[in-house]
Amino acid sequence: MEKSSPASINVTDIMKDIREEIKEKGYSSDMLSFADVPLDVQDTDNMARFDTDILHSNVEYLSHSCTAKLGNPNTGNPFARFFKCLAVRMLGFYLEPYADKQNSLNACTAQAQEQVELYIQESRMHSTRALLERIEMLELQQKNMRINMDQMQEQIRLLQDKLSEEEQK
Amino acid sequence: MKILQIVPSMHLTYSIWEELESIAKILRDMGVQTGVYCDQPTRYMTERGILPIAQNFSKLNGEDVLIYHKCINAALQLNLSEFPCRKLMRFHGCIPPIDFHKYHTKLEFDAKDCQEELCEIALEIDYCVGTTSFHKSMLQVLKYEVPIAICPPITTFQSFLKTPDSQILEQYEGNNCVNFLYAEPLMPQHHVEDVIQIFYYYQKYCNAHSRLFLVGDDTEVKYYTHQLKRYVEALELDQVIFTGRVTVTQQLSYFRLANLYVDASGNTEFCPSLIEAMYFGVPVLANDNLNHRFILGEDAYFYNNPYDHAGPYAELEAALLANHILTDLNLRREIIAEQRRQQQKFSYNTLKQQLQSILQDFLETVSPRQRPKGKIMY
Repeated sequence: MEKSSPASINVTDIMKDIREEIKEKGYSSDMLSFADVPLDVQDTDNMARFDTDILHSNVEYLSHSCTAKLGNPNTGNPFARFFKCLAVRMLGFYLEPYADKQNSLNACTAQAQEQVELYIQESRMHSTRALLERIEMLELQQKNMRINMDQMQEQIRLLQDKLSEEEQK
Repeated sequence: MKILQIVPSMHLTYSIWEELESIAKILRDMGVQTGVYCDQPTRYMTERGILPIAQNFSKLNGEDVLIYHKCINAALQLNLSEFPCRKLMRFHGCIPPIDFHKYHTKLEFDAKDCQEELCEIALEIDYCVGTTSFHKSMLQVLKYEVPIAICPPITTFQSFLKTPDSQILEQYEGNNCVNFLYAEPLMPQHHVEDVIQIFYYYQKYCNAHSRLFLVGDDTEVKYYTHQLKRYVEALELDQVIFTGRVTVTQQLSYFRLANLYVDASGNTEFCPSLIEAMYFGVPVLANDNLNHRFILGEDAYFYNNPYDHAGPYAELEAALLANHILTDLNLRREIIAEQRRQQQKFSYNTLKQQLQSILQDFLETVSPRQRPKGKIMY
């Protein structure tokens, strides 16, 4: 500890006392360090991650919008609308089977996505992640307790040595 | 002649906001036309009167002055060489990208951009003003061959005069618990884990009836905060309170409750909370580095920085020294008295005069630039 200018209280003496105290009482600087806490790999990045809300909103949109209809168009001015209706009626026989196939594909896709969402929800319920975290934490606490026990044993040994010295005297 | 301030749009801390307003006020008092601009202002900035450069910059000439606030972890999205005026860089510090390496990829890239910009604009800047002596030496190492002055951030301390939050005082006062305090955002460069270690040793060897308040925004690098919380849990420390972002009045309450302020941060930036601790008469125990020596004075009490001196007993000694400070009344009184003397150096009037003399020196030593012909400038 540094203090350059003279003062009424001598810091050098305070630090000398502190270092003697550490020696006498057998204080140890061993402790669990910050580096011992394992970094959660999934937490290290801010890039895109799985989001259940986004999945649910997209699945909902798929379910509601999977059917496309070849209806009569109602946009544009009257002339444009007339020609669009005429085109639909003339080509409808050709386009409708493709539209039906696409609709059934869309419906299957929407159903499959709903099943995927349900699977994710069920497997998250049974997730072992919480358990793994708890195990990790218990292991860290155990390591910390082991360090404390070692320190206590060291202090006991020092006290025993002191006691035996005094007995010899 | 106009003297305009320009800031990047990201990572503006509360102290930089305060300084923008303080400098604008000082410039208006000097009778200078001024304003605050940004390359891409957010809505919040626009509401507070910060204007976008492209639309609002009137024709600059060589006599005008641009004060560029080089904020930590943020780079300007513009080319400074396109401004045909004199440029003064207000350097607030730079964070090493390695500090964010494990926790936040985007902030790591922002820190790299910030460092690269600092090197790239060296030839464009005519004068530098750092906030601490460490910043001056850093710019000298980067071969900035322009005059470099030092002026700490200017704040009016008006927020210190507000009434503390009574709810927090009622919750934590009156049970003879010793309160440690740390009041800066929880970011990797502040080494909050060292503060937790010091508190651990203190609670274990000196006084089990103690509490640590970690007051500050914990959302910017939330994975670092998550690691800190896991660390506290692994150490089985009780009474470590992560408050998150608090209001000014709530922060004042924590300073009112604090018995000791502990700071383990590095040399990256000026720590305004140290001034706050000195103002409220809370003794400060900080690690030994240039920044802390500049802010707290050479006569303050420091503990060794383990990153510089690699001493395994640094935090343990710091905890026992904290115990001495808390139990020895004479020592405590001496520290608080010295801190009050040191705190006067950061008063608004002192720093206002300092800044005015720096600006005067700048205007006298840096001659107006020639506007290049035929090129459309801002």
